Amino acid sequence: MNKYIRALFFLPIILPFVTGLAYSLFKSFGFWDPIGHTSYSHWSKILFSPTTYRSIAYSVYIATFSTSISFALALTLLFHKPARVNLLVLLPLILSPVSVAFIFLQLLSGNGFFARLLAKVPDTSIIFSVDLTAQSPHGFAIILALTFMTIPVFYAFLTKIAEEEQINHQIQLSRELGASYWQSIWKIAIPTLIQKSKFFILLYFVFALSSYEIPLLLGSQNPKMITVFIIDKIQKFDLTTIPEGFGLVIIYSFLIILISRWMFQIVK
Amino acid sequence: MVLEIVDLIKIFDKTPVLNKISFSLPKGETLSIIGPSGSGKSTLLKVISNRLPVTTGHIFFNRNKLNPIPQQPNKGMVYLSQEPLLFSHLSLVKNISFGLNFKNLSPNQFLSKTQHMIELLELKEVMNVPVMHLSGGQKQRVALGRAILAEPTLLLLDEPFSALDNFTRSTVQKVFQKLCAEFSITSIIVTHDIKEALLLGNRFAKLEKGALKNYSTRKEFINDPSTGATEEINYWKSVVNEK
Amino acid sequence: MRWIILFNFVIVIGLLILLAISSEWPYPNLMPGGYFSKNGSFQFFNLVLLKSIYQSLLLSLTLALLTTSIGFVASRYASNHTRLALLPFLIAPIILMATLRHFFITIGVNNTWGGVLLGQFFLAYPFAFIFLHPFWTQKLQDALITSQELGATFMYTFTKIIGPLARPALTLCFFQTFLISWFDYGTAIIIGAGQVKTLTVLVYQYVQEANIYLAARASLIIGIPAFVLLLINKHYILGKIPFYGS
Repeated sequence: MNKYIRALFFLPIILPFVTGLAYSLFKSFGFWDPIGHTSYSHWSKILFSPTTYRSIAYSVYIATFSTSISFALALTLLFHKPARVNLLVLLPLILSPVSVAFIFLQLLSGNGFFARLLAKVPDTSIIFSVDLTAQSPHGFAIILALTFMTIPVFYAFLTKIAEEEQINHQIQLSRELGASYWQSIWKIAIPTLIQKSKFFILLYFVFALSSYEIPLLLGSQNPKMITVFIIDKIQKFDLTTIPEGFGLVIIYSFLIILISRWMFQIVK
Repeated sequence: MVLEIVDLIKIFDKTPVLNKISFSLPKGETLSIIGPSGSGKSTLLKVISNRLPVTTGHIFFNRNKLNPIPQQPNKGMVYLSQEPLLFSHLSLVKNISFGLNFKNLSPNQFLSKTQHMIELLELKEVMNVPVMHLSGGQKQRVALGRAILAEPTLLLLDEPFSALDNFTRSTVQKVFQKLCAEFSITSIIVTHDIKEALLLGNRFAKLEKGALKNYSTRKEFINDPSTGATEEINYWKSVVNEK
Repeated sequence: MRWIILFNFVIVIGLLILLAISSEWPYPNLMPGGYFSKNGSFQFFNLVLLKSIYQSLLLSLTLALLTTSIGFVASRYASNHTRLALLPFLIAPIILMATLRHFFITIGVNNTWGGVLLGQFFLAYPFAFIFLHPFWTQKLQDALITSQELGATFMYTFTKIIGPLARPALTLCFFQTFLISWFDYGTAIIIGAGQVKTLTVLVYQYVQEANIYLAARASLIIGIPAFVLLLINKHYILGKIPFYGS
């Protein structure tokens, strides 16, 4: 009896995912296509198009940088914590991704806050030679926005882990055994925290890779992050790109499943 | 007979942990089952109390054959583990009197039974201490009192005193003996401590490598060299007689 | 590293608040201006915003209640395959909804509040399932059986024994699933398709219309319940209080 109850409760979890994936697979081969017919041509367009790989590489680049920077900064905050900082560090948690995207647009766009600030400072031509504004192809604005959102999450997680692993005691013990403070941090505390955070880091890497609202408002037209790229293909008025969009869903899902397998290995 | 076990087999990962166990237990008796660690003692009690499913075999409780649904309690049986499982959000008094809530008692009866049990358990002085702040021995006494006030047909004790220090263990064992006498409890105690088995039981069995050997008398249990009872008794005699 | 805190609070949140209460920001002024005034009258809320708040609140509260209660019961039956529950959680919500849109249209819930609720349920339910699974420790399962062995019915045990122990975990799960819906954009835009104007959809709409003041107001309103929840749950988030029953 328990087996059937278990299956019933698991159904709303697995069914949408499997259904969506199956539907995407059929659509990518042109099934139920209002204007075309079933064929492999959409897949050859996806697989032989440099835009596909550029989008995936761009997404991985954005996710890698934003995750690494936010983790590093969260670690730094953990060891350099001023008093009464906790609530302030957690503040970005109150903003939705679309709100963060909006405010960073106001900060980093060509007539945004920083542009106005720099306009007041003489001789800033050197700064303007590097395109740091929103919607630049470097993705600086996306990385900054994602980092802003992720720092408090990592900080909260690391605080909890530091307490569970008694990091302070470990540092103290290490110093009693002759190491300096910084040696204790680098050789004991940080490796312990990274070891315990592997799963969490990968989880937020995936979230960054899968983000949509922030690259939608802050991203460039080329390259695009994979989620924006997919939705563009599916939602555009050009119906011929819809099967390609669903094919990209398969590729994106495959990437997520690969990363999740890695995550499950860590948990094991 | 309160309990009858017939050819009970329990297999974990293709290994038989309990191999054709059979025994019976009449009302008012305490069966002490000894055995080394890993012999299957806890598994036996968990199977009887339906915390683990049976592989094959039959369990008759109050002459009724049990067809248990996994993880559902067998009405009339209470299982006590080594670690006392108290309800941390309830007070000591509410923990002890928990079973009385379902017995249609008048408020006076409820109160007098609870107070009497607290006195028997020698917990009057710590009545108002939150249960999580009690010592191990005190928690075990609360768990015992709570179980007995629920008036179970069968009490299953899984090494209930092994986590306690010698002095506390001795105190709690005496409390248990007092309760057994007053409430005519039918129980099974599994333990690896020969002294405890001899002190608390009036029927005896030994579990080793999944097989159960029953003894008809205390003397037979003591005289069997494989139980280690004679050795234990002789050892303490020599300690006492040492000049 | 106090500059991180400075950046967080002063610049980002500060600019958001200033834009929400201003009505102009001419270039090259550094700060927005025209605070609390717009041609002599200032209205923080308009009808569209109020309707959107109502939609979002109703959606989020309903979803939180639904997923927390079902997730709590469901997580008791979770097996070692809990990891599978992570998969739908990892896929971008908007992508998942884009692949399911056809089915929502088929069953007739596309462009409806109910459809958005169903879509958000598919996102929040795996979260609740995973979040509440660790609550059902062996110790708790034993407490469930012990209570019934002592004479209690299943319902009594669930409400008087399991319930109080579960309260911190359930409360936090409720808040988290509330926020999953409250912050959701993908489901609302794909399944709602413009008919269900949640606050997040409104923010994007105002950005497209270049109405940054209304976008800021909507963003600030989105942040208010999240801020309250952050204040209440700060200690749980930082792990100072365990939220799984002991």
